[in-house]
Amino acid sequence: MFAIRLIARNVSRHKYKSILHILIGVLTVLILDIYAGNMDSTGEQLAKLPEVLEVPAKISVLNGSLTEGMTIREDRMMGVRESEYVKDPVFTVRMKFGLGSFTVEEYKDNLNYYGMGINAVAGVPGMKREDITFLEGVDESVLETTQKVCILDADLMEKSGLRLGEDVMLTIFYYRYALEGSEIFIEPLTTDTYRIVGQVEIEDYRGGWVPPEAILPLDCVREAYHDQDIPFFADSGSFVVKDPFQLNALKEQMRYDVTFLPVITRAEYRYDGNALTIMDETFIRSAEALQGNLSLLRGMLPFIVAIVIFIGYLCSYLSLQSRQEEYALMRSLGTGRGKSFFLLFGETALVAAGACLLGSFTALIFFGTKAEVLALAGALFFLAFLAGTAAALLALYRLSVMEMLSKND
Amino acid sequence: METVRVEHVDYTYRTKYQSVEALKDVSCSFEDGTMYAIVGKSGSGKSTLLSLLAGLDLPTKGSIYVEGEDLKKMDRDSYRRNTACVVYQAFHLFPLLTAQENVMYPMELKGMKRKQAAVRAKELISQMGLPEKICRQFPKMMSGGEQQRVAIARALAVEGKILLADEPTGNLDSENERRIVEILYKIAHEAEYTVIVITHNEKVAEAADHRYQMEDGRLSVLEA
Repeated sequence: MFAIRLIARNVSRHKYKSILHILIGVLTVLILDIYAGNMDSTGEQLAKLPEVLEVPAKISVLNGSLTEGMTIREDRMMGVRESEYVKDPVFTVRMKFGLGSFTVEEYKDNLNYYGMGINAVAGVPGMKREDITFLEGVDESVLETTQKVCILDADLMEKSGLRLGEDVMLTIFYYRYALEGSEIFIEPLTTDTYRIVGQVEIEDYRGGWVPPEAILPLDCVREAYHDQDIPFFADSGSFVVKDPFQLNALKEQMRYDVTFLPVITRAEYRYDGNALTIMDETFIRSAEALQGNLSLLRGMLPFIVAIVIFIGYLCSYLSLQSRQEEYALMRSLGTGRGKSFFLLFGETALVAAGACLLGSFTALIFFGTKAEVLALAGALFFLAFLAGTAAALLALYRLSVMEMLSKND
Repeated sequence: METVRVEHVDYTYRTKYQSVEALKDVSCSFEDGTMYAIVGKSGSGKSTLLSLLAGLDLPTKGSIYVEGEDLKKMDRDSYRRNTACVVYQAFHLFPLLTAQENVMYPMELKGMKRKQAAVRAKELISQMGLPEKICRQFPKMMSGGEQQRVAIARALAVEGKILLADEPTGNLDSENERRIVEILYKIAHEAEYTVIVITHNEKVAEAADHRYQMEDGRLSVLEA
């Protein structure tokens, strides 16, 4: 109790010195807060970079000239859809259809409409969720199922007198691409009944083909292929990299397991969708810049700690210069070395704690620094400052008490 | 009764470049209830002997016994806290403590309760013939004589057996010098302290019961 009272009394009576030390401390804490805040926000920016800067990837033909209307092998499509490094995979398959049931010979009069099988709304370029009016209890997740449902163009529904919730019979033809050359054949796929679960009015269609007048779940169409023993091919595919910090693992998987090739612009024109372009340049550039900043800031840490220790040492050293006699007097009255050290150290600790709180509060008010950053910077300041003080105090041990008390005599 | 015995004490200051023999084969003894004066020129070794008697340092050779116990084997911080106290020429009061707080320091250091220490400090200050208002004054507000009397009061607060004074009147006028000598004499004879005063002031030395002469590190009896 006596020691604590003496420390508090000395701090309050060394008013100007204490205020000066607190001001120096507050400035140091503010600088540390700015430094730690910078490090924290850079780290946070880096961690959130994948959310802010998505890395998209698109499947194309080998020479990169075509990104839709290709033939993407089913195993490649499933390789992408099942990859742990992929999120939001979007695949489409195009087809032609007519209302009702008709034979191949009757196609000229009946095969009038274009359709698409998709597994996500983004499969139709420019189509938004708001463009579709779903039947109650149904939403866009229906596109990820194998249900026999369809979303029809609003004009087509009006013209044909169809309503939401009704069943409609569709005869679907698929596109078959010649293995060699550029011929495309349209051949029958299936005739089936589909429930109308939505109607669509695409306001801002951006695709290169005719906008689809019927949209079916991709896997429902895929099952139709399987039922007819026709090999399935998707005609466009894209996805977003789930964790851009694992780009290398993704690239390796896509290259060796899923067997995608990089785009070779001099390659021959083919419909085979076997090349993958990952648009990672912007992400890598941004991540490298942030990592560079972070490394620089981290590299500065030892110097910052050394500077704070030096400030603590200097403040205490200068302050103790005028208090050597006091220390000698304490010792001559029988105050042990440890207790004398504690009394002088306690004063600095109290001042440093005050500076720490005041500096942190100022940073909180003016810079809105986060609590954990304040705690980190505060702790760093407190420990480094006291380390400097301890070094300055240890120098007192070397002084002769008698010499110090006799020199003014 | 013998309080302190000094036996064949040598003390050598060693620096990086030289060593100086400050005390050479010093032997003497000091009894309680007696005032001693050690006189000698500057640099003769008086202050060195005092610092050894105060337990601030240890002899290079020889021993100092306090009530039969070798100072080397004692906890010297405890010795200064409980047995010996020093009064200096430059008073050396804590500058940011009031007179009363200065006197309370050794008592509180020994664990005495604050209130009790405050009452005792007032008594000691009053015994030194100082007015009560001095209690609330800081050292820089007091005269030299007042400061020295507060320093003596602080020394008495230790409630020890030995009072060591290093040129206690060196910075005082003759009136204050007379008062301090009287106080020291009373402490020796009424409070039964062993009072050892280092001085080169003849009047102070004359007031002592025994006088020693320190010359070139050697101690000799000046007058019985």
